[in-house]
Amino acid sequence: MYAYAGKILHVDLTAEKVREEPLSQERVKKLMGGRGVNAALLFELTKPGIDPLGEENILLFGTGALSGTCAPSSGRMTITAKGPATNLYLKSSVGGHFAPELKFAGYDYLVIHGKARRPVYLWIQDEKVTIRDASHLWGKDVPDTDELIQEELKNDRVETAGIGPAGENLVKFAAIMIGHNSAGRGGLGAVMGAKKLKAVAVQGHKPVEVARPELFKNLSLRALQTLAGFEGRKGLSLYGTAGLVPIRNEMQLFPVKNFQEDHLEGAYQFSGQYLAEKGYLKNRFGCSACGTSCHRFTTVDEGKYKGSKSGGPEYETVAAFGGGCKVIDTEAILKANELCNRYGMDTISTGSVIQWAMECREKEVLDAEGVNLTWGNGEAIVELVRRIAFRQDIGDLLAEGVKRAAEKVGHDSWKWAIHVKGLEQSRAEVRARKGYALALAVNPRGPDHLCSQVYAEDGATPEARALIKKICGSEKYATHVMPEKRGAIVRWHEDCYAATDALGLCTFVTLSRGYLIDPKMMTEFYAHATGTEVSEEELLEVGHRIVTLEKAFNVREGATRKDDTLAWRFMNEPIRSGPRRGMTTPQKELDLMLDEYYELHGWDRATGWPKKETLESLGLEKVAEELARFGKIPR
Amino acid sequence: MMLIDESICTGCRTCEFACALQQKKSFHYDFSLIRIRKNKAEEGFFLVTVCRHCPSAPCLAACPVEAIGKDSQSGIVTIDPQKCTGCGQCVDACPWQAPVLSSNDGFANICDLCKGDPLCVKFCQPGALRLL
Repeated sequence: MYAYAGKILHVDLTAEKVREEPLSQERVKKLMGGRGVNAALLFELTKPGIDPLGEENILLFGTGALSGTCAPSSGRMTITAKGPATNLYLKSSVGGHFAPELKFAGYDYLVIHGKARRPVYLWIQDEKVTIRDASHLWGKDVPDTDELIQEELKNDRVETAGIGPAGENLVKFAAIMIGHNSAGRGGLGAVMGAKKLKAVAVQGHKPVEVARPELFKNLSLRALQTLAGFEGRKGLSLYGTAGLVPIRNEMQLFPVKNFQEDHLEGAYQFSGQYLAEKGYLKNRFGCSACGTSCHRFTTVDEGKYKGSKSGGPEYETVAAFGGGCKVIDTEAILKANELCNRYGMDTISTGSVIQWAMECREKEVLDAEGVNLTWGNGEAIVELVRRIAFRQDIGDLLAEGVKRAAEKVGHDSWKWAIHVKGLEQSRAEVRARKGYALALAVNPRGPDHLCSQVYAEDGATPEARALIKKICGSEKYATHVMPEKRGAIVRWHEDCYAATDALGLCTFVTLSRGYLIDPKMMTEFYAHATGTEVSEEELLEVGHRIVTLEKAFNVREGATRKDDTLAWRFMNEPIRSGPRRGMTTPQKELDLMLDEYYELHGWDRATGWPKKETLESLGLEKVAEELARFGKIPR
Repeated sequence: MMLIDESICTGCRTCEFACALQQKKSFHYDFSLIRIRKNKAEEGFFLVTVCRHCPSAPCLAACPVEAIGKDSQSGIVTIDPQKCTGCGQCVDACPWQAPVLSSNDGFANICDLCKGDPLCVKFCQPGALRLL
């Protein structure tokens, strides 16, 4: 089999049994890889209503179809499970170098079932699987664990995916870490912690073969030229994702103080530019086959946090800790980032829950002993990261996420608990940006931009405007303040995003930082890698099928149209100042967008449930039967 | 010769995949004649190990069977697999321990600069690899 390793590995931690399953051509044809096959297996192998932290949940690691090749930025992996924060579908995409190594070890997919009796880690080398004792590793942070595993296995080429104390303590937003890279959102780290699985270590010698090596090489070089020719990528390489801070702040689209404000004086001090200028940035890290190397390696060499070093921080990290908490203390932010990486915790949610707590204090409904929760207090964010990871004092409340924390605290604190479906929101201003508003409302895992980043809706570049014209029929829709046609825009991006994830490509090369490796090129990569031709329509249909499967999972869990919504703040509290002052995204506008979106999907308008004929047209007959069994097919 | 700037290597390992593709038409780090490793002495940085076809080429003199030669025009260093016994003296003599001694092949292998148009250099976006 070209490109693929050809096998799925099932590990049952309860029975301590291991089983292989061939990766069928049919699965590959329908879902291509990565996120797609993960979604199908999650739907097939779980029942609705299971406890995400219980024995019946499964944890899937899915490599991309192109992972383990020189296709630019092709080493992404998707990790999937039922999510602890939302009790709904959860996938997280992550970079690093794990995906190629899992393939080299002989497997495209790893499925973890059950729960170990005591802490363990998995060692997978050349199709040989061992469940090893991890009681000496339990409690250790991620970098120490990685090092100890390499020492113990006497192998410094091992790649590891693992959890830190946050996952062990079942923090609702604990991450699974691959080196400095984070599969952050939704609490996958807690799923792993609940299974008492500390880490998965892989290494292998089986090469990845491609059908047309010469053509693959030339296409890869052509793709690199396309990437190099795009001016916007230089900033990404030089300053990382946090290089976006100054422009967003200048445009007053930079959420501050738990989305109360849209601009922060001094935000430059946690921008990617500042980190480079002031020497915090020491090097850049590149994920597998990605020379863009947007990831950072930063250190603090003096002062209070001297000795701090870590991967990152990313835009969302500085936006959450800096903008969100109104903290301008660069080094405190770097320290908070480092601790999140060590403990294995999502910086988006961690920053979200802290700023919620700060607003609670502002509104005098919450206080923390020994921590001053005033806006702008850098020391507080560092201390709170520690307390959350170890569930100490207020940390125990905050570790549950904003939704549950607000339920406990009461006093209207739900009004500023910025979440949808139970997951905290990434830093996107959804009162002004209608496409983002819809995208975040409908994202099956919760409100972030990582399901359909509709970057083109701003019409900021010729490519963006051309794309909007292609999708909507006219460039006049290339503006983020109108709700019309957002359904179409989100639909296209959803499909392209899912196809990207199935191939293992980074969305930074396919759509969210320039539309560069476009669907046509994606089909060419797939053809030269596998020997199988696919059309652009077929590729985007694969994406569409994946998105529909994910929706079906949520529908089976009981999700309806009312779950596709926005936080109260964005529907009721207008933007306070600036060029978009007075804007909200009220229910009426959201309904307009949802109606169009559901219509385009072939989903029932009232419930949001996929119609029977829609599922059948995508070859998802078995999914339709299953949903019918649970009474979830619209009449 | 190859110019390497390790300080800007980001560890993306694209060069290893490019070289593997060139050498063996498939992908694995073991097939590559350029190797990237984490620098354990300096956290956050990487070591780039590849034959640099350097002017001094101490491997030539170190080889007991004269299997290693250097082209006077191109400067490219080559190892003759027919003569090589796999003794490993060239590895010890090389300041970067660049020759790859594979137990499979039985002889030492080094980068051949893709006959003058090295693929790794083309694939290296950070610019850590340059051809002089």
